Amino acid sequence: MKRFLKYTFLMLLFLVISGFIWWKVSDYQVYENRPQKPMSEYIDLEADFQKLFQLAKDGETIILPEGYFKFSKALILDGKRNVTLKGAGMDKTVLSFREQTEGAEGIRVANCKNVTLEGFTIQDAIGDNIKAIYTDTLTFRSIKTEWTDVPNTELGAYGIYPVICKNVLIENCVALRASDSGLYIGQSENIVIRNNKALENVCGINVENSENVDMYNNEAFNNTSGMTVLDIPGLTRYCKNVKVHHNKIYGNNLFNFAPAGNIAASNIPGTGLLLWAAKETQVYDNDFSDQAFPIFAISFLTSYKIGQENEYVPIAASEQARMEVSIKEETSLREDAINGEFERDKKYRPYTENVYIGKNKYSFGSLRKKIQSKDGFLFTLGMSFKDAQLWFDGVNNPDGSTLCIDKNEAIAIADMDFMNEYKNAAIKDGAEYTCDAKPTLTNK
Amino acid sequence: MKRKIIGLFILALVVLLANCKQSTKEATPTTTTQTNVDAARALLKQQSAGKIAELGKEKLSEYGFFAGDLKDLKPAEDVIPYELNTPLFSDYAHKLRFFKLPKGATVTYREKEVLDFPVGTYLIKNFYYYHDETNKSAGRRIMETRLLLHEADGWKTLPPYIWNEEQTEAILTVEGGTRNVLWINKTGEKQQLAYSIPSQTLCKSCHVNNNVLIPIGPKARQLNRDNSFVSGTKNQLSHYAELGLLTNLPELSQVRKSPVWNDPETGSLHGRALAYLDMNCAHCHSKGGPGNTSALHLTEFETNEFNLGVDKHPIAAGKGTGGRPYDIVKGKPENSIMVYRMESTNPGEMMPEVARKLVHHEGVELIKKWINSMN
Repeated sequence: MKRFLKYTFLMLLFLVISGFIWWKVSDYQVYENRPQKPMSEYIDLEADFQKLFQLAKDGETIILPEGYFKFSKALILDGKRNVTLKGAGMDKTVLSFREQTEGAEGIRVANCKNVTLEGFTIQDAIGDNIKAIYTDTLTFRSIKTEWTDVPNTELGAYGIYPVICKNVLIENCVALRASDSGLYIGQSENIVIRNNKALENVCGINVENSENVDMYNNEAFNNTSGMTVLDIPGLTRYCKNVKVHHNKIYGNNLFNFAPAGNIAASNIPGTGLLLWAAKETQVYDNDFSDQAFPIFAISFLTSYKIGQENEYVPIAASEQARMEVSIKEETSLREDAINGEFERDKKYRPYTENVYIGKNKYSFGSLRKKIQSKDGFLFTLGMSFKDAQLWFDGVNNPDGSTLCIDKNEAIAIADMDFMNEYKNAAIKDGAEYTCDAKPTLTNK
Repeated sequence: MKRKIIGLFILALVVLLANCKQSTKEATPTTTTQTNVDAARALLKQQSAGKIAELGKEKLSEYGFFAGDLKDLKPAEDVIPYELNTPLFSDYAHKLRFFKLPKGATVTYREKEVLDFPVGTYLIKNFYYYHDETNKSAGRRIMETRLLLHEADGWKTLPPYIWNEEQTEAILTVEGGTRNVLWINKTGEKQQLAYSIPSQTLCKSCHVNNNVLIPIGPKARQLNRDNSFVSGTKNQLSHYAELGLLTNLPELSQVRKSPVWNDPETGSLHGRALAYLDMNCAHCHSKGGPGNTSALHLTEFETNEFNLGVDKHPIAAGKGTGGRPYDIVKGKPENSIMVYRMESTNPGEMMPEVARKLVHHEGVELIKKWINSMN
């Protein structure tokens, strides 16, 4: 008997130790370890490039020469009209900001009208590789944006980052290793995002608070999460009329390397498409494969609940300051922020609304990929290890317009009943949300 | 027994190793494209040729802003000096500011915005360092002169005029540049800085609001202070009015006066903190400014705590959060993102994003005190 107990004890000890180790090393790495080109192979013609950007005249097409070039400051295109910047092609004209000392972005386009950026690679800006703001009619074509180091929190935030713009086309681009989003569009209207590839980013393609967005024929793979459509409070515009179709979203299982405290840090490895308080969004004819959580549909309330249970330990504060911030105080602060922000933004609706899902293909990832992150593990546990195509926090819009699942879309919905700690969690067959056709969208 | 435990640890180790078999492939080195540097340079230069002369005069001296030796910066008769109550921090550089109106033209008073300067006005700002802050008579080094010109279709930034080492001339330089500068600060410490001179368009990062380029400093509330003129020390606004250069000026007592950020006699802690934020942040962080995307509004007139950042989550701060939860956590500057970003000199994290390489320690102290005082 004593012997039996001893063995049981040892078995348990073994399980605990190996389980713990497995837990610790299970961050899933799917990236290639490419060597960085030494800076000595990049040419310094910065002054000439700076002049070229500054002096660009309205109506001009500026040709960027072929070669590897390095920069210490941002290149800025400001207040120009009808200007095209054209490189010799992706991987032929390469602009590196690895030695950047000034300016947060590599290229900045601001207050322009009708600008096209085309045919070059941009690397390693401190903040964002290309940021565009207050610009009407903007095209990004055949641009590669990348950080050349392995995925880690020190990498820049956004690859291509237009915000508060109109009439934007992003096509044939490749986006790698952004510690937030490879391709992003925020607070903008009339957007087409097509034929792009996004890989090894925290979020592959991210559509935030934007209107009239058509996103198709893109590939998002090896990111933490493939694509996101979200609507957050307090900004200049809300999410409206977004179409996500004919995209290939696969193997997005990378560990999350976004800096703590960041919204992107709440992305869960294994997510195909995150619909985060998305409004008037149609998701159809996409191919999700090797995704533990093909589609996530959650309200803003839930994501905050998750984020705040995990994050926001003041890492830069001194030990003493950490001691001073008691857990109780932190908690009350968080609750204030959630409730406070909704109250402050009267027009904001925190729910997922009018989301249509139909005619997608799905395949699931392995269990290990599913439970590699703490959140993924908790969700999986909460749903008793069952698979589902759609993971839903169960927070319904009070007006009943939350989800519309096409009657031909035979999917399982994992209703997590998140706000009640999985109390009424259940796998549903979607009948509750069935509808006949795509809801008509307002405005177009 | 001991052996068994060791055995178990080895087993655990095997599990660990099994999990380490990440797909980190041995990568093949990329081949370098052989670039013809001369061809690239020629292509760049050819596309810029002849465009500079259209922007402004080649040399600063050609404008005739200064009488006598250029480096003395002694204003010509029609060039008028001005100072601000709370200026923008620019890496501890001192600034000498002037405006020049076209003959016979006048400025019209405005209560809140920058004064209404007539078309043809030049705003002239010179940046310099004293060699020794504890002994100003040891001289100074002028780094650059920036001009804003009011044209018929709006304000325009000229590229900076960069001063030569000999301090005899400043040359129009479109792409800006970097110049090393050494000085001794107020506490007698040696300082060294690769002083950065912005390109023409970088100037716009701060000067554009609602798609329109505007000056930032010369607002009535900032100009409402004394300055020493040739004719003696006077309030700037009354002096300009006396000279017939400023019209519609109300009674001085009716004109708002911004506190001097580091002079407690001029305003409350809250008032001085807001004045500091207004001058250093509001050109972006206000409605219509580029920082409007963050929903943070740091103007002197802001009364909503949330808009100032209290309990407000960052929107797109990236690494700039420093792992802290809110822009401002009341009473806890060490948990406030605002302080983190002011204390950072990493271009991807710091605020303001441009126009500084050094931490403004005195400014940070003010904001810390202010946040500490909140409850």
